[in-house]
This record gives sequence, structure tokens and C-alpha cells, in this order.
Amino acid sequence: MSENSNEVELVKSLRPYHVWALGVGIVLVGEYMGWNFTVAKGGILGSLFALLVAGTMYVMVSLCASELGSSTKLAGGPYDWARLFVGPGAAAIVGLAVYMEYIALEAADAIVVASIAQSIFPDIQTFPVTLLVIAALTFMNYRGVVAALNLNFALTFTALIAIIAFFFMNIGGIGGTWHPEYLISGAIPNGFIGVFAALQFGPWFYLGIEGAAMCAEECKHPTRAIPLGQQAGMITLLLGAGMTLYICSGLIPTAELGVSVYPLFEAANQSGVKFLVAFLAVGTLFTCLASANGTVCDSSRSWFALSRDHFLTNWFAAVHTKYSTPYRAVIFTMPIAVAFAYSGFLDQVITFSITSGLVCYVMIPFSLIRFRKMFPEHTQKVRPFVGPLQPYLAYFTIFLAIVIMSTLNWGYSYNLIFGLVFYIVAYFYFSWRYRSIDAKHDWGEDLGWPEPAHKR
Amino acid sequence: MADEALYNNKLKQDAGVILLVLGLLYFSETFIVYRIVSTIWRSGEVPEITTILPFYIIFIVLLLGIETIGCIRVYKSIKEHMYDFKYYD
Repeated sequence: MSENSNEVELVKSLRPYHVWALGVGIVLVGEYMGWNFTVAKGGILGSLFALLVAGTMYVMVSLCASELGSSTKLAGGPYDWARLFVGPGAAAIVGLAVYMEYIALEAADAIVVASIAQSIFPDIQTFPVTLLVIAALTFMNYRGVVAALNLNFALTFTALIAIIAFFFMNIGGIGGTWHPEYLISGAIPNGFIGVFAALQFGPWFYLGIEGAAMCAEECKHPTRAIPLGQQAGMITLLLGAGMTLYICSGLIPTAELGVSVYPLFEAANQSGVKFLVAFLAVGTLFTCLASANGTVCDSSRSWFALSRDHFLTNWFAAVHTKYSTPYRAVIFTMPIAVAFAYSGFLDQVITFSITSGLVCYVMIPFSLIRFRKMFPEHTQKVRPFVGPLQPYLAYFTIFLAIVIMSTLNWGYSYNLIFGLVFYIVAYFYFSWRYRSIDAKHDWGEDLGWPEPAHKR
Repeated sequence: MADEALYNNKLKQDAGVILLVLGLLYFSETFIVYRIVSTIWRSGEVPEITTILPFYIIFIVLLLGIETIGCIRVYKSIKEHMYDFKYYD
């Protein structure tokens, strides 16, 4: 077939705003729904604590990802960093973790879009709409990454403007009445244990932002686009998270907020402003589509990278000659996402997604620590963007990720155990498989770098 | 030969974007934390707030501090490499 080629390279056309759109597009859905489980666990004070602690961890993860992404410029992102600087077993579990994290998110987003559609048109069934959404986004990603990310940019920007407009209208006195009594009555319902337990849902605010660096191989100038897009994306999410918590905590009674499916949309309903109700409904729909679109892009890149390095069959590593996309890896996201969507246990799937994300947040900074030891020089060729305060930030990131992971023990202990067992088994399987294949690695040929410090 | 005026102008635009979002971040995060904490503090009904407040202060300083240093590094990196990698051609 003429369109099957492993030699064709991914097209390098993305700019900083595409990186921003990819990162924020995946994550912004977390501001529209899901984060409010922190309120159910720890009240408003617990939610604020989770926002700040998880936010600090993600700022550091973003800086690690910026340095690693702009240096390696590879499509696999965290997978490639672990492969290059840690080892094959670690690389495989990171690749799988990224894949599972995003595929589960895609399925969740598609289900929510279908639920919204059903709430507007009660006669339609959710599962066919879920399939339709997954198929449409897969087709868009098959056709080309630029088209997909341009769509993401428009959807994400609209959803973000909705949050910002709501926030400023509210503090300006024209976006509903903010009730201090809601905060006071639901400040800390489960004591300090609840505040600590709220950390388990803190990652919802930012889960997946590290994915912005995964389009490095397709960026026109990755050394500028990755750090700029990644940091702009992280700030955007911090803004969105704070504004969302503020609006919802003052407009929805805490007991209702903790179990709400669409907290921002409900807050808009409580405000009684028709413009905001319509705007936030559109924002909720758009952010789900943008998130699902971004996750197709990132999970397929992770699968593509695993395949290219022979962890999986090389069949998935084909790049489309016309559209320059890893089209087989893109298409293969569809059956997996449909399987997740069909299971229907959304909270379980999403908790698996969080566990997978936290595995990445241990491995990304660890990869950076190893990278700095192997290549201590700050030359333009090896490390064009030098992150600050390293490796101390990397060690602190690992500490925070493990602390947050440990809080999953409250309520999701089986998910945590299942997730960790899955990745341990994967580690040993892929370590064995990698030994059984011919794995050549030449730093000069692959990346144009000198040999690592310990081999010189 | 790169157009220096164009490059300086584009670099200023990048710096402007970073400054704008950082400014918005400083305003929104401090406003939100202050508003929520002060509302609960003034009520006098939640004594736990005195214990948890130092942690809020530590983490908001860490969050804003690290992000600011990170953005300064991004700016310096773009400025250092913009001609070598022809960022704005």
C-alpha cells in the first residue's frame, strides 16, 4: 500500500498555541466536572488545599516536561524520556500509563458529551452517540494533527472564556449572588483526614497537562513552542481551577456541590443569568470534545512510540504518506476507548486514569534526574531549555506524587492495588520482551548528542 | 540574516503574553485564597482554619514562586536561542 510507510516523518508544523491547545484542551474538562469530589471529601478547605498542593506538583511536572520535551523532541513524551534515561521496563510502563490515562479520559469525555446530548434530546440513546463522538474524533486525528489541534484551540478557548467571563461577572455583581454561608457550613465536614483525603482528586484540576510536550516531534520550533506552550497552559489551568472553585463554592451549597455532575453548569443555573447558563452549557460541551480530541492525539502518539521501538508490533508505527499522521495507532485508539466507554463504570475508569497519571508524575521527574546526570552539559544541542532549581524540584515532585497516590487508599484502595499490580506486571513483561529483541541505541545517530558522561 | 527589529518585536510579544497571564494568575489566586480563607476565618465557626492556614501560605508561595521563576527561564531561553533556531522567520 502506498500510504504505509515507516520512513515518512511526522509533519513539523505546530506552534506554541497548538501546544497550549493540546495541553489545556485535554485538561480543562477537569474544571467543568470531577474536581468537585474534593469538596465531598474535605469540604471547601480540603478542595482549596488539594488545588494548591496538586497545582504545585503540576507546575514542577510542567517544568520537567518542558526541559525533557524541548531536548529530546520526540513524539512519545514521558515514554521516550523514560526509555532514553531510565530503561526499557520503566519506558514501557510509562508508555502504557500515558496510553491508559488518556484513553480512559477519552471514553469518559465521550460519555459526558452523549449525556449532554441526551439531556437536550431525551429520545436519543447515549451509547450510539458515544460511538459517534469517538469515531468522529478518531477520523479527525487520522486526517491530520493540525486540523485536529486547530479545532481544539477553538473549543478550548471558548470553554476557557466562559469560565473567565463567569468569574468576572460574579465578582462584578452581575453573575449571581455569592453566598459566604455556603463556604462556612461546608468548610471542613470530615476534619483534617478529609482535607488530606481530598488530595486524591486534586489531580482532576490538571490531569494530563504533561501531554502538551508530546507533540514536540511535530512542532516547527520545539525549543520555543514546548516551554512556552506548556507554561502558558499550566498558568491557564491554575487560573481556571481557582476561578471555578471560587464561583462554585459560593453559588452551590457544599452538600450539592460534592456530588454534582456538572458543577460549573449548575453554578450558572444558580446565578439565574440566562447568558451564563447558555455559555456554560456550550463550554461544558466544547471542553469535553476538546479533551477527547486531545486524548486521541496523545494516546496514539504513545502507542506509536511503543510500536516504533518494538515494544509492540511494528505494524502500528506506520505514518500516513499523505496526512503524515500515525494513522494505525490513531485508529487503534477507537476500539479501546469504546471498550472503556461500554464498561460504564466511569468513576473506576477515571480513578485508573489518575493512578496512571501519578505513575507518570513519579517517572517524569526521575527521568529528568537521570537526564541531568547522564548529560550534565547545558549546550544548545542537548539542553536548549534549562529548567530552574533542578534536581531539587524533581525530588519534591516525586515526593508529592507519592503522597497524593497514597491518599487513593481512602475509598479507592482496590483501584490503587489493581493499578500498581498492572504496572508491575507490565514492567517485568516488557523488560523480558525488550531483551528478546535487537535494541540498538546510538545517541549521536538518534538525537545528534554526544555519548553520556559515564561512557566518555 | 535575521531581521532584528522583527525578532525584538516578536520577543516582546512572547514576553507580553507571559506577563499578562502571570499577572492574571497572581491576581486571581491571591484574591481567591484571600476571599475563601477570610470568609471562613471571620465567621469564627471553623477553628481548624488556624492550623491549615500556614500550609496554604507555604503552597501558594511555592506555586507562584516556582511558576514565576519558570516563566523567567522560558523568556531567557527564547531570547538566547531565537537567532540560532530562527524562531520568527
